Amino acid sequence: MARTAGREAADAQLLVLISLAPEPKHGHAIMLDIAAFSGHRLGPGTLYGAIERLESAGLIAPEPRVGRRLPYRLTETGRAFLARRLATIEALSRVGMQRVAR
Amino acid sequence: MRSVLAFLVRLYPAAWRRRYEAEFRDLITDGDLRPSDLPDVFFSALRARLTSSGPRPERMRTAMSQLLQSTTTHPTRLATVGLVIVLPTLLLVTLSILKYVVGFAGPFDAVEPFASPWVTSPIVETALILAPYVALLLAAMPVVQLRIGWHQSRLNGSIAVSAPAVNLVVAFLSLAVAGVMALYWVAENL
Repeated sequence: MARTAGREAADAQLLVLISLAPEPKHGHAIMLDIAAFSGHRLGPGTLYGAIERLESAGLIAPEPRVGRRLPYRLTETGRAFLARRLATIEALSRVGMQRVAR
Repeated sequence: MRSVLAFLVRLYPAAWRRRYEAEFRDLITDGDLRPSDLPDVFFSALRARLTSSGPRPERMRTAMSQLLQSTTTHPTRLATVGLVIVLPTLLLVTLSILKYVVGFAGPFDAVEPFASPWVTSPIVETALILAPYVALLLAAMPVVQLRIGWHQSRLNGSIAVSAPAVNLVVAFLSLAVAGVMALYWVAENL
C-alpha cells in the first residue's frame, strides 16, 4: 500500500515535470494539460502533493503571480532531472519492447 | 462537494496552508471536480501531516486538536462528510429492502452488475459495514460536547447539546442503516 502510494506520487511528479517542460503553468492548467497528454487526471490533493515535493527539491519554482494564479516553471535542475528520467525510461522501454517482441 | 473539499483543506498542516491554500482553493473553485477528489484530498492531507517537519507527537496533537475544534466550528460540514461516507451503504440497504421486503426488485437488479465486483472485495465490504458507525460518529461529535475540568479540588463536568438539523438527519440515517444491517446479520446467523 505504502509502496503503491509512493509509486503514484513519483508518477505524479514526473507528469507535473513533463507538463511544465514547455512553459510555466498554474495548478489548474497543469491538471488540464496532464489529462490531455496522458489521459490521467490527477486529483487536487495528488497534484499539490507533487508540486510541494518538486518545489522543496528545487526542481520547480513559482513565478510572479498572474492575477489570482501562481504559475510554476521548471528550474534548470528540474529540466536536467527530467531529461535523465526520460532517458532512463526510454532505454528501459526499448529493452522491454525488444524482449516483448521475441 | 466544493464546500466539503474546502473544509478538508483545513486538515493540511498550517505551514502547508500558508504556502498553498489560496491557489489550492482557486483550483477547487475553478476545477472540474469528481467524487474521487474527496478521498484524494483527505489522504493527501493526512500524508502531508505525517511528512511535514516538526516533532511527530506535536504534529499529531495539533492535528487532533484542529480536528476536534472543527467539530464545533463546522458541525454541518462534518455531518456532510458523514453523509458522503454512509451514502453507498444507505443505497445498498435501501435497494435490498426494496427487493427482499417490498418485492420491488428493479432498482436492485439494475445496480447489482455494477456493484457486485466491488462489494465482494473484503476491504470494500468492511468499509461498507463500518461506514454508518463512522458517519454516526462524525454527525454526533458536535451534537454532544462533554466538558470535564478540575476546579478547587472538585471534578466538574458538563454536557452541552447543540444539534443542527443536518447532523440529526445524518445521525438518524446512520443509526437506521446500522440497525437494519444488525437485524439482517441476526436473521442470517442466529
